Amino acid sequence: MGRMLIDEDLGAPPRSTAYADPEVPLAVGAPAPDFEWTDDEGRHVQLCDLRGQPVLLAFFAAHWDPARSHQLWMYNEVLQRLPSGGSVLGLAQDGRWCEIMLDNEQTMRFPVLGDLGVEGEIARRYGVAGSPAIFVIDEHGIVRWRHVATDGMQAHFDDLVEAITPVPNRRTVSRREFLVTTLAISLAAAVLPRLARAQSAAKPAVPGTDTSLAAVTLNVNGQERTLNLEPRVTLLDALREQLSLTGTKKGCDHGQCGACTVHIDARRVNACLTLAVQAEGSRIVTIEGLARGGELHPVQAAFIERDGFQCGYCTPGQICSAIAMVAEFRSGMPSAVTEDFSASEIDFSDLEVKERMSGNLCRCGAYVGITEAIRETFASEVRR
Amino acid sequence: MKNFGYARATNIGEAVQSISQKPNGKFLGGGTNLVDLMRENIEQPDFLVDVTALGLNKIEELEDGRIRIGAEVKNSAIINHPVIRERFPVLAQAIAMGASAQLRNMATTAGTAARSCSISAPTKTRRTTRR
Repeated sequence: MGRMLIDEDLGAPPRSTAYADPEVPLAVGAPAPDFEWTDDEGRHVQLCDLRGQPVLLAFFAAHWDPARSHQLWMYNEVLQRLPSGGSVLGLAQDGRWCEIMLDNEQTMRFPVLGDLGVEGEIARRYGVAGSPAIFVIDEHGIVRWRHVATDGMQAHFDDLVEAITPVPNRRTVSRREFLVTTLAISLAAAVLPRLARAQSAAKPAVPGTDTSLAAVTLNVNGQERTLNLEPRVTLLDALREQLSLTGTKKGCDHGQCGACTVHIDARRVNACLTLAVQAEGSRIVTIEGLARGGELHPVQAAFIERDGFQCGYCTPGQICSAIAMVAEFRSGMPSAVTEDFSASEIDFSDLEVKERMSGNLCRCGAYVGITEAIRETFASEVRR
Repeated sequence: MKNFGYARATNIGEAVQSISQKPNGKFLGGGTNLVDLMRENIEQPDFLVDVTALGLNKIEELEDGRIRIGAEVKNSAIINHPVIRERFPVLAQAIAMGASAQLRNMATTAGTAARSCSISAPTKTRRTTRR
């Protein structure tokens, strides 16, 4: 279902118009549409004022949250490919300012201008209305690279290396220079919020026939994340492809193997059979959300201690499943191997653990370690 | 998977009204069966009406000794219901033997019943699914 939006446009001749079809992202080689904003000192600045230096222009979804790993990841992918490398350790937002922490312990501040234009007009001009996207615009104002986070698509960051590698006679751009001159704009141009609000207001009260993208807000690991998704996108694909939370694995994609197990409102479910739209309004927890302040969840630690895995592919699902399983057991829930359904006490036996974990397959056959890890966690919880 | 429209109905009237406007629409419960079949293009609805938020999520004891299980009640809730465990243990045991804990947390009473009916008639299902 994903559309390739990068390769098809490489080498394409520049478009004659600077205004893109709002449904089709602006092509590589096209001139970047100009727009104006007001900087922190009240001066009017235009994109074309920045000619002579590369510009990184980013469009992010509504309620821009600097802690979103998706945005951090997209920036990191770009910055790591700059001539001098490096990475972003964190982003923080303080009112209209964004602070970016780099791995060399430097911190930089950039203005965040919020949404620009009317009804996401700039995003429309770039043809990315409704999608997170990053454009690299060269010093001549031409789009050199782009990534549009459309459903199911991976960014081709290798193309970016070429896009930001200086051509002959072009002076090398240092990492710091690139950051200073570009991120101010890129972070500023979060033009989607208004558009996303307009879309959600337009949602019909009585169901319509709309099969196109809709704004879906998911609460994942305690953070609200708004995505623009088709109804057919599963929670698994939304987590992995849109939010870059790739800890949750796709195994069979049919609800049989359990590799995609996540928690929805503290209950374990198969993310591959859950539509992302169905999960709106619920609390979703993935393997990435289990550790607290760098300390592993006891079940995670026990899996390491007891060799509860070999290749590790099923492990995130096993761990999410195990945590919910122990909670189910504590609530007194019987299982298919429980002798007496009216009994109030159930023995936490190997047989019970195996039956209750039967929705998670391990092709390496690490079941002995998995069972031990779960029983150890349970026993240590009882001791406490 | 073929794309489709989606809406979450908030009451029974809304659910009935929306499905009546969609000749090729289907109700969506837990999705454990329908979404799987849609991925294989065996089912190709062009609209899904999500009926998991209609307020039909209660298990009630009736005065005549029977029990009423809401259409949206998850399989796992039936297994763990004290009255069902005490007075209708076979029902709880039977459900505990189907599918996996993850699927039982998703599958609804109505969806499970509808699926059971469709299994008894000839279907185009190519694979064997547990639910």
